[in-house]
Amino acid sequence: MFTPRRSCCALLLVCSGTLIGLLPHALPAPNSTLAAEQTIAAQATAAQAAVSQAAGKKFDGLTIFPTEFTLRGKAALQRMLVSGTSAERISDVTNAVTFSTPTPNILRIDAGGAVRPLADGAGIVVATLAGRRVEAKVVVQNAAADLPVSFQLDIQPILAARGCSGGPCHGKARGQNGFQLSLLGFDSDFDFSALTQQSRGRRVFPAAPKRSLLLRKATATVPHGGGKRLDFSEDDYATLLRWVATGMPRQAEGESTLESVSVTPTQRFLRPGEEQQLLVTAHYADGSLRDVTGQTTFQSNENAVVAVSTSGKLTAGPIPGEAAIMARYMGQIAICRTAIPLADPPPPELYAALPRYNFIDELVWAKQQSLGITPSAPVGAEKFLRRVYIDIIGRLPTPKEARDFLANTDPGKRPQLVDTLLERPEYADHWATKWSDLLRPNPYRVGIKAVFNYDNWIRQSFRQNKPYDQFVRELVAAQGSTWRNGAATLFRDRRSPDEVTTLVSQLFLGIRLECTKCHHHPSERWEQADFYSFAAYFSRVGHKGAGLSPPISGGEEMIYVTKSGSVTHPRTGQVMPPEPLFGKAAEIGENDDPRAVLADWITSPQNDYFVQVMVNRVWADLMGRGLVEPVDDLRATNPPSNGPLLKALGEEFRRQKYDIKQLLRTITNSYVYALSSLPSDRNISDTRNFSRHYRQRLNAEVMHDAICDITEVPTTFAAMPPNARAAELWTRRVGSLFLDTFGRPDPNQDPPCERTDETTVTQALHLMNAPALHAKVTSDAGRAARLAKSDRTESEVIEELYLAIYARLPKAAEKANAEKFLAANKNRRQALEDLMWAMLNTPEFVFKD
Amino acid sequence: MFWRSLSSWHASLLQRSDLAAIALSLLATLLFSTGSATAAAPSWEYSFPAGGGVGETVEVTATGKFAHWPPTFWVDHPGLTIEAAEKSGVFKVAVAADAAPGVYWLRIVDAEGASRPRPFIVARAANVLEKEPNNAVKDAQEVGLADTGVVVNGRLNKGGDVDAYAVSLKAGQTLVAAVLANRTLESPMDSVLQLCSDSGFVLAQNDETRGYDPQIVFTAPADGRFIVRVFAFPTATNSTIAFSGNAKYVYRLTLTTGGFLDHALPLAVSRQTPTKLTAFGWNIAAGAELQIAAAGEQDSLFVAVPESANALELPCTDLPLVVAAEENSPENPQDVTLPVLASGRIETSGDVDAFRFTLAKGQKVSFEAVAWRFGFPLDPYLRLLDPQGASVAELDDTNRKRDAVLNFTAKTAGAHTLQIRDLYRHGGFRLAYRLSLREAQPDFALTLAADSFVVQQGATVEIPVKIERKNGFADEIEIVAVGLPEGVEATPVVSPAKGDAAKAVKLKITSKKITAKTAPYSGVFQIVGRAVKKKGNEKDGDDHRESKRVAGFTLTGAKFPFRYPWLTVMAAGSPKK
Repeated sequence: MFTPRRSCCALLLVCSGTLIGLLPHALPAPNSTLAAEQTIAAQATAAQAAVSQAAGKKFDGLTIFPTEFTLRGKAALQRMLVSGTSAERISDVTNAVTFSTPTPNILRIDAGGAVRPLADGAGIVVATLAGRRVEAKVVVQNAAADLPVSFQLDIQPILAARGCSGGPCHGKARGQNGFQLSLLGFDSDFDFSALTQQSRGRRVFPAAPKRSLLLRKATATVPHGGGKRLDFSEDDYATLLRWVATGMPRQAEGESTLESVSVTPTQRFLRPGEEQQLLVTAHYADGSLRDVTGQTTFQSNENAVVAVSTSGKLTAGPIPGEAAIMARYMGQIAICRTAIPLADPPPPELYAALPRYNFIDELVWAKQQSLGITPSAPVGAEKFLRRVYIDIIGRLPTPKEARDFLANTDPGKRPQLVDTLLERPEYADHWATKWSDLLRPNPYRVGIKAVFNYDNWIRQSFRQNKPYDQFVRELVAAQGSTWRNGAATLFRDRRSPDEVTTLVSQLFLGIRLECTKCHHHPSERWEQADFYSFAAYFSRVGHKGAGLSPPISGGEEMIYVTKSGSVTHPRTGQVMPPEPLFGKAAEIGENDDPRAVLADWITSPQNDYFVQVMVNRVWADLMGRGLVEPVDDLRATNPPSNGPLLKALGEEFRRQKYDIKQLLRTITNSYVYALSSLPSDRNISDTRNFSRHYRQRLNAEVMHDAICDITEVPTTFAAMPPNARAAELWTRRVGSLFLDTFGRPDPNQDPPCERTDETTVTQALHLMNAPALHAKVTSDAGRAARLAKSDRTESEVIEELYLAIYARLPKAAEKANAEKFLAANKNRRQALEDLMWAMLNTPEFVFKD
Repeated sequence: MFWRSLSSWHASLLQRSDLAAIALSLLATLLFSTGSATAAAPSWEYSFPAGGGVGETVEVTATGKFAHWPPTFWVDHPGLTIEAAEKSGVFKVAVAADAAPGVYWLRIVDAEGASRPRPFIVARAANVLEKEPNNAVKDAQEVGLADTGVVVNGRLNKGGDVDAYAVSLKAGQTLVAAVLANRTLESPMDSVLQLCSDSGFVLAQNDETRGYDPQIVFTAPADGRFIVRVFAFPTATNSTIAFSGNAKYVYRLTLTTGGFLDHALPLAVSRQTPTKLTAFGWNIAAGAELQIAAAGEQDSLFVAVPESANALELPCTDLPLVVAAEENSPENPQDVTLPVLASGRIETSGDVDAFRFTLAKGQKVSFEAVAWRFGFPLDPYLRLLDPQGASVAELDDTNRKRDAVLNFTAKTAGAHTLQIRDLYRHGGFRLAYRLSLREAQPDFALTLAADSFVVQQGATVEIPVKIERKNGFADEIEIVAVGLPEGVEATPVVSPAKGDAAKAVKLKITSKKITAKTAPYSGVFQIVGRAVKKKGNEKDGDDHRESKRVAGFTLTGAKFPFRYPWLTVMAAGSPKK
């Protein structure tokens, strides 16, 4: 679950400029993504039916986009998109239709469907295919005029689309070869000055526009490190030339501003190998529209499933799956969701007959049905038992607990077990350990006592099942001594407004703002101003007492609200008023802590990000994968695999008053939770639709504590009372080779820390060879020694080992094998130790299945 | 702190000398028997156990250097009978059945002088001694809780030590577990208290409640056995995360399902009139009231209710006392007349208490809020409003300490309002404060740098006395020593209003040569300063109380200055310290 930093590298690459145009990007709120997905799901059945039919089937009708449009000025251009429709499906037939116009004096249209103006007036565009015909209406204005070229509206998009202002080129932090542009053109004033004034204006030459360095470099007429970006024949070349020739206007008089972009279509089911062109339309404040497909950057989040060309053409790959295609134009993002369903979909009755224990099942089935995949079988009591123990309390059932549960014939025993586990004291430590990865800093930097108390605050929150909104409010607006109110340690660790901002937005909203500290977010709509307005909520955090003094930061520090304080925008120097990222927050009253106002906004019922990032974390932890991955990176360009489910889980969490235990109960009581991990033909390639359980390696603490429980030999940890469990450790400074090997975050790393569940060779070797583990298995005080000494039969001791390690009884063949093994060894204890050791080295122990 | 009234301090001193009488007779024997003493005065660091229950006899082991054993003992008030055992550093303390709960200060005395005063705590709760091994939950020491609770006397004797105790609770019973270690006992430990389930899972944890010392109040959800455990980090932080411990890590852990006092309102006792106190704590009847007689001259006294395991130390005051009314708020300030000592609590988050009073134009006033120093988790923030309601002064800390002293000269005449709140806008049962509002009057205080002094017979010792002149105190101060034995004299010294001597003087104490009649002396005395009114000021009258101050020294662990230094007169020929 908690793997927040997983995609940070990708973001860093963008920031440092080594990765070109990552994802285009983001929608206003997750809801819009969800809406799109719901529609997809709704269309699913129809589409699937079509998949099986031969390509080239005749369509019932044609549709054209846009149906009405206006061309303004001599250089105007609009591409047409024609779709063939039938009851089952929609597909792109633009390349198959014949375009013509009954008004050839007004406009011309080429074979590819590009419409250009000829004379003012009303015109018509016609597309025909196999006797079907569709029309679009065109109005042409100022056909003879060269409209003014604006740096803001016309030139910046070209610089971005051609990669000039991209991260690897002139858009990186110090520019390229002395020429620097803002990343993807977020700062037009700076870029305008860079082009027209810096280097004594040598980049443009209005007297002989073609001689401008800008054009000679872009066309590689003179050597250009970035190669040829533009051809003389292209419209964009003409636009640049005209801009220089007309004296390089910064903005045209009375020009409008870009408000948003839209992509057409917004969703599509594709068959393997099928193509689909995307069109991108810019929407301006004055209501005008413009086809900006040519200046848009496209990116697919699953290139292997659906690839996209630089011109916006999608090509479906051979494998069934889903992909989201992002279109980015001047900081604005639009998204097209695509899916390639499995061929030969099962009948709807199959899905209708699947059990629905709660809303989760319903929504998961709907999604699977849309893709033609089917769920695996449900697990038996043994696997459910082990899975739910590990998920809720992070330990294995004891042999007695396992035996009791397996023998229990009550049909309601699973929900009963969930209820029992949620009341166990281990629950708090298990879940606090997850949150300590995200929050708990290094005691050598922040101080032993401050960290010790922070750790306790986290644990106490889970001990009392503190509602999640209260947890966040107490943390975000923490005040007082770091020795008494552990939550205040957050502000000892993250001392400046910008440091807190990135943590709070990522953890509690799933919004990563790190990039916007320095520039417009390359794959999101957030700008620098958003960052510093958000940071302004933390501008009045005061510190008194002893500050940090590593490596012994032992002093007590008090966090309080100062009377004044502000955050300024680093580029404009403007004092930023506190403002939330979206929506409205309450006014900050005279006696209010601005952070409390922010916390109210974060936790408000209108804020879907707040609940969705949390339910996604919990879901990922239990189900092996988040609905969104990385779990704390919610953005339109990273859509959830099941939007309606994410939305429904969020709403349920809110309805349950942010009760985390209740959320766990809801998920673990679903039918989907208890699916087997064994794949079927119809879900083997599924890795994100929960058609089967995704196995996870036990995390370091869980595995460690399981081994202590199985061997009955506890570990002696430094800085802990005797017999402490790994889940109780208050700092990662407590040394443990085992925990480090199995992926505990580095103690020097600042939170939020990455926790991977990958398996490594060292882990396998550790389980086989580690002296500490060997000592536990062979301890005189251990389970093997105890069983060997007991008068219990071979069959009984074998059963106990199976129950302790796998939470199940041995199958007949397994038992026979084990009995044979024990019989062949004179030293009963050694044989039992060997058996235990071997079982600890099996995947059945190492994985949660 | 002291049980005797200081109003007739000469008499008081005589009585104190009586206390030391046994000591003296023993001392004489000792002196003659040892002949030439070579070692220094007793040096007493820690003791274990550090207290006892009412009516109990406890064997205490003192850690330190004791060259002459057995020594004698001095204790600041009656209730204890102390007898040295044979082994060096070991003595028995018999606590009288009617001994008052509280802190008793003891000195170990021998021919070379006296140790610094060390605390011995008397509680109603019965004493229990820690038994190792008790680190693991399975080895937890069983502790039966009597009605008045128990005090476990424990020690984290080495690094990594954890002390676990098992108690049985009934559903709904409230257990108070409170550590006393760094306060009063000066143990260098920053202890952590955990309350665990029978199987060792932590259910509650506390690191600090009163200073470094933790406390957990836990209501049992069901009948059961619970584990209370103690471990510690060092108060002087180092670079290791490990738990710390050594012989000095002595603590007293009160475990009780009976009463435990936290504070009382008002948070002070009047010297002049009887005081009605309302006691607050846990397992104590709501609104339990106590009637305390006029306290007289002492700095502080201990109060307890019959059902409480512990006693509270309350300061004594000359100021009239008021308690913040329930309806007290910024909108509804409580009217008071200066001077006054107000007490109250910030009970809910964001609460502000307000007091309204009249000031004359130019009047100099001083407001002192004390909470943190008394162990309450309140960081007082003061705000003064003028008659128009405008904020004219705001203050958080004074001298980088959380408690605040706000001095103010009124610019306009009329009703001013002083508001007090927690800096963090927290609120709660324990956020109690004591707020003095008074005119800034000239005053002075005398401080001694040491707790004891030695003079050789026939020689002179100089005792440095620091003088703190407050609010422009400009009179001369005559400083004298009182309660000296026969043959020892001090020459009064005068601190003038100006110059270096206004801030510090040296008082000379001279012992005559030994004669057959004069035995060496070892006992307490006092240094007293008395304002000498300047000519022309005499007609203001000579307020006895206001113009005499007894010199004190700071005793770590004690809340108030200690006003009884020790004087040892050494036999001639004894080596100097």
